[in-house]
Amino acid sequence: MFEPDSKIIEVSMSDMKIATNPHILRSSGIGSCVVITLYDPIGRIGAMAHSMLPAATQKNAEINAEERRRDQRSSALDSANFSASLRYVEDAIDAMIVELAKLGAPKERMEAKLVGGASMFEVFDKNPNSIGTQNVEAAKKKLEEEGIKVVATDTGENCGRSADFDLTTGIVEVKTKI
Amino acid sequence: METKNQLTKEGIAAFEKMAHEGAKKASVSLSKLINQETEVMALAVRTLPVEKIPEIVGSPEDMVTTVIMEIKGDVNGSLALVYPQKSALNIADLLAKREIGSTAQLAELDKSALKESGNIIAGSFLAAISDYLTINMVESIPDIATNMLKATIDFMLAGFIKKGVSDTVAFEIDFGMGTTTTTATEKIKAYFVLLLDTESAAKVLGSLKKISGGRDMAE
Repeated sequence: MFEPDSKIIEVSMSDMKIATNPHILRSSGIGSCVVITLYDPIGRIGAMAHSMLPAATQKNAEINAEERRRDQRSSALDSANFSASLRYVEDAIDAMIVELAKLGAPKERMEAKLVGGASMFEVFDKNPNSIGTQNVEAAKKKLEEEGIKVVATDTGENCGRSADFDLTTGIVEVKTKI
Repeated sequence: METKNQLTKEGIAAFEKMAHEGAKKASVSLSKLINQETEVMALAVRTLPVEKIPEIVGSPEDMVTTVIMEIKGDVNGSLALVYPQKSALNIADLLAKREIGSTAQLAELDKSALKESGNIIAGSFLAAISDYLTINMVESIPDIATNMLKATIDFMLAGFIKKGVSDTVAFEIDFGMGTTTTTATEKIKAYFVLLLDTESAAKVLGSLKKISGGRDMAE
């Protein structure tokens, strides 16, 4: 199914990766988190982000700043493969747009897809205000503000998902286990 | 309160000693519940970023049944009891006094029984360490989900981040059940993960420091 020389690049929680044709960006075991993909069909380049919360609160922002200072002093967190600000949908979308633009992919050419935002627990994380729902709504709102069209979603319900984003076609294949 | 992120060797040892007290009690309760011998197979205490928690239990897509609870009282934290799916089905059989291997899918009653197992393990564990530390800790009502491992845990982790906590102290205890009377394929495993936010961990460390006669537990 995938091209033989394609490489699968894992995108873990609070992470964002950019890849080009013919590679695959993959996020596994997505629950209440939301995975956002942006794809430029002309350049066949795209980004995948895996965020946990809609937006940073003031307290979160202060902690992020402190973590960034700590990151500069120590490389310990580099191996952890995540960045504090990518925990938040709004910041992650900003980062994707900036990084893709640097590689010659303007946001005007982008199409977005959303995966995840489930409510896995009936008592602790009830809809309509579950963290998952808030994540998906925040992503839609931010993408609309940026003028990026959401062309497909597989979100909500109470199921975990994994997503493979094929940079050759822009197709996002979603897998569930139940 | 000043919070320190890195536990010293003494701090880890003190946390592990405390966790052993809790795990022993939890193991006894679990044995009584399922009428099977139960062992603590492994126990580890580490400080790590929230995002790394799922990795201590397994792969993101592993099918599991996870029971989660919040810790209330003098500290803030969360608990997760993670059963690999085969173990969840087997323990459901034991709890319902059915033959092991007869369940293919968890019914509502099985889910209630598994939630209760979480309550009993967490309750025994927290009661033991509360006594040890003289810090009040009680568990909330449990909630349950069956799905991919990471998908059942990311909501709990997001809750920590939301509260401004990015580093956690994780207690990982692996229970092995039915070690004498069941065959190798029927053995039941459960991972018990207790997460404390940094301020709560500092509070617990303060109490451990008193117990140990004043040695520094974190740096």
